[in-house]
Amino acid sequence: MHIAALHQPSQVQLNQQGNLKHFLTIEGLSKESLTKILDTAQSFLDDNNNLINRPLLEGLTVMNLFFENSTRTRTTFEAAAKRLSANVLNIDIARSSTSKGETLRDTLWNLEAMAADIFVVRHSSSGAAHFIAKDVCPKVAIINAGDGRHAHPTQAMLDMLTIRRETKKPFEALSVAIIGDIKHSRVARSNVAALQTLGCKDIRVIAPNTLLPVGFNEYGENVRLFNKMDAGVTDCDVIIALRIQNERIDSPALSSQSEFYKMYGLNKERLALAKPDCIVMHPGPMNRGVEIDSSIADGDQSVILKQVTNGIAVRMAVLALAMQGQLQEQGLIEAIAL
Amino acid sequence: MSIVKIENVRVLDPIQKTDQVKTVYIKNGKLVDSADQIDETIDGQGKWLMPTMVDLCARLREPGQQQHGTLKSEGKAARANGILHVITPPDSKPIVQDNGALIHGLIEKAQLDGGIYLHIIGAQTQGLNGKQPANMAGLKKGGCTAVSNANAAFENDDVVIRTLEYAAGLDLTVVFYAEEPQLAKDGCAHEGFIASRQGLPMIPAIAETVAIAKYLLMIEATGVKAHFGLLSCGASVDLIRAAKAKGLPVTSDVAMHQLHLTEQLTDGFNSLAHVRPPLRSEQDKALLRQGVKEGVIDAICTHHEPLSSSAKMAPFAETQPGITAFDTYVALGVQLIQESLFEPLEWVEKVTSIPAQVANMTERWQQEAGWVLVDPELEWVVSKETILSQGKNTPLLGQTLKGKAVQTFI
Repeated sequence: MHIAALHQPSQVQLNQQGNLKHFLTIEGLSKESLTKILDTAQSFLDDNNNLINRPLLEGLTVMNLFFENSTRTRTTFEAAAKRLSANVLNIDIARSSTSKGETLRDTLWNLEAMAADIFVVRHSSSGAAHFIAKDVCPKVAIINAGDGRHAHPTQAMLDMLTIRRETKKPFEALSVAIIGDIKHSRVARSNVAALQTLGCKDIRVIAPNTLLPVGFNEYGENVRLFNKMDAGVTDCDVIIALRIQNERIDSPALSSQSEFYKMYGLNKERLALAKPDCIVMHPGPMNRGVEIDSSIADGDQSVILKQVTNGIAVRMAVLALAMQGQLQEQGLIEAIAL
Repeated sequence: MSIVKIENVRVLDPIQKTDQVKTVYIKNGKLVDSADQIDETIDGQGKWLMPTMVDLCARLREPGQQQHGTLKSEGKAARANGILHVITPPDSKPIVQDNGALIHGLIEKAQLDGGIYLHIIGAQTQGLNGKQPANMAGLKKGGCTAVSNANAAFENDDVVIRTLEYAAGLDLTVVFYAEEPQLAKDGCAHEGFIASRQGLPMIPAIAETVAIAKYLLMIEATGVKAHFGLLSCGASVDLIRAAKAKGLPVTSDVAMHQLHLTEQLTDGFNSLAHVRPPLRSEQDKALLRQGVKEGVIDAICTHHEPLSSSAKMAPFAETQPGITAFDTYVALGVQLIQESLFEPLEWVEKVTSIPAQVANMTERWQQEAGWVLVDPELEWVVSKETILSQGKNTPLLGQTLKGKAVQTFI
């Protein structure tokens, strides 16, 4: 019996022409799709790294539905939507309706009836955005702003844009290390998928055994696991440090934050093992002195604040592309004009 | 009473242990040698005739959860699919703990409305609170032959031991659906690559095996007769095999879907594949099949759990676990035969005489059982229309299956 294919995410997020109509996960997308997102995002940045406004969503309504708290991601989505001239509504949802007994489905149908064109969704449950796109509001463009431990695809794409712009090397030639709490990280999952799709041959995942996800070695030969930090970062072009997700850890996975810092914290000595032009990234929020030393976070090799700016450009690209994919699906436009 | 003649049918008789093509007469659900007056003649060419089946684990949802199913809807579905005796865990609402009137009321309703014989496993602890033994003597008097804490946790191991001693003293069987809560946590999918990649909370195989290993030691210490229901891990089979070799009084079963479906189905967050214990790996499936073949796993149950469509309409982890299974039970059994795991009679034993024996009801089953006519070649599509159960929640929706109970004689 081969039934699983019916439910593959790639089929849910693409329209009949193979263009994005939702953006739920990196998995199942082609290198061309990801490159299209990166190129579109790049087109919203000028040579001086300033964002360029484009009225691509004029008259359309973007609703930010954050069932889980966020400041940075929500704000950058809002900024991105406004730069595209959309009407933006931030719905303070934080489980209020569901705590009154309303199902997620009813909440969303109500919001859809308020003439929403795009939902930006963050939810604590893995697969939430996928469920909404497939079973609840297929005609609203659903943008996944983080679902449980599953995916954070816009973060992955802003990381890819940052890597592309800052290293100026093709993905095939890069060694990328991801350090920290991989097990509970949707960013790690999406980043690995994006790097693989874009052709990166050397992806290194560095964490203690208790923070490594089950079955990670099944990702393939280009993903290698390291328990030891020094071996993991040696000769890297990119280091991505991740936050210890205390709120998601339900097991005694670490003895202490200070021991983690001693074993896996990114400091000057360890960074020196990487290539001299290695860039340092972090999706934020950062725990200085836990996964990264302050001097590194603020140092010359850090591109952490550039990630934030790139994040707006990537979110503009994804909002515009998915909306056009929806309009194309509904026969309202013939081709994607980006 | 009408008499039916079935010509040239393959009779699979687990009591006589015979498998032969012949012409039979059925009167009041019983085979008779000959008949003077025949009311109906059926061409049995290519069809099988077997006794009605005994299901060791199904939740019919009544009382308390009639939005998912009722004794009437699920009883009728069971009967039409050839299942006449259904055993159900105590975790209905109200919980079946000491109320003889409740037990009798449910059994009677299942018979009148649904046309089936319902057998209820009593609660092992009061209100399934995992703290205090339930009124087991009362349960026994009410007709229960087994107790279980269903999916509810025990507060500590002392409670488990004491309730096992208590049950042993009353000659009650204890049924375990083994899962160590501290290891299973809020998991909803098999701990493996697929769930890990999707970021779903996971239930490791060790949550089941640690619980089984622990309970086996307690069974040995107390001498209680025990049954392990719904095994899902290959490693569990080894534990049961070793216990049986040691002579412990244990039996076990597996849900039919665990012999066919795997974690693969949860890819893409398909909530119809959300079941507890979870669908596991290909290797687990292979080892479970081997366990049934060897007889380490005694019987195959349906683990029928009908659910309304809204129970499956949420992000995966937030949906209710369960698969509607009465309607696909025969077809999936036939498939095991087609895949050469069993001879037809072997399969029949594992869904009729052996589960009857496991449930201490061989004599009753022999008296009450009717016969089912199965067409092993009949192809049909699993759909909301062809599923008779009120619950349409199966990942097999849309699949073409081969084999069906076409008529039940009771």
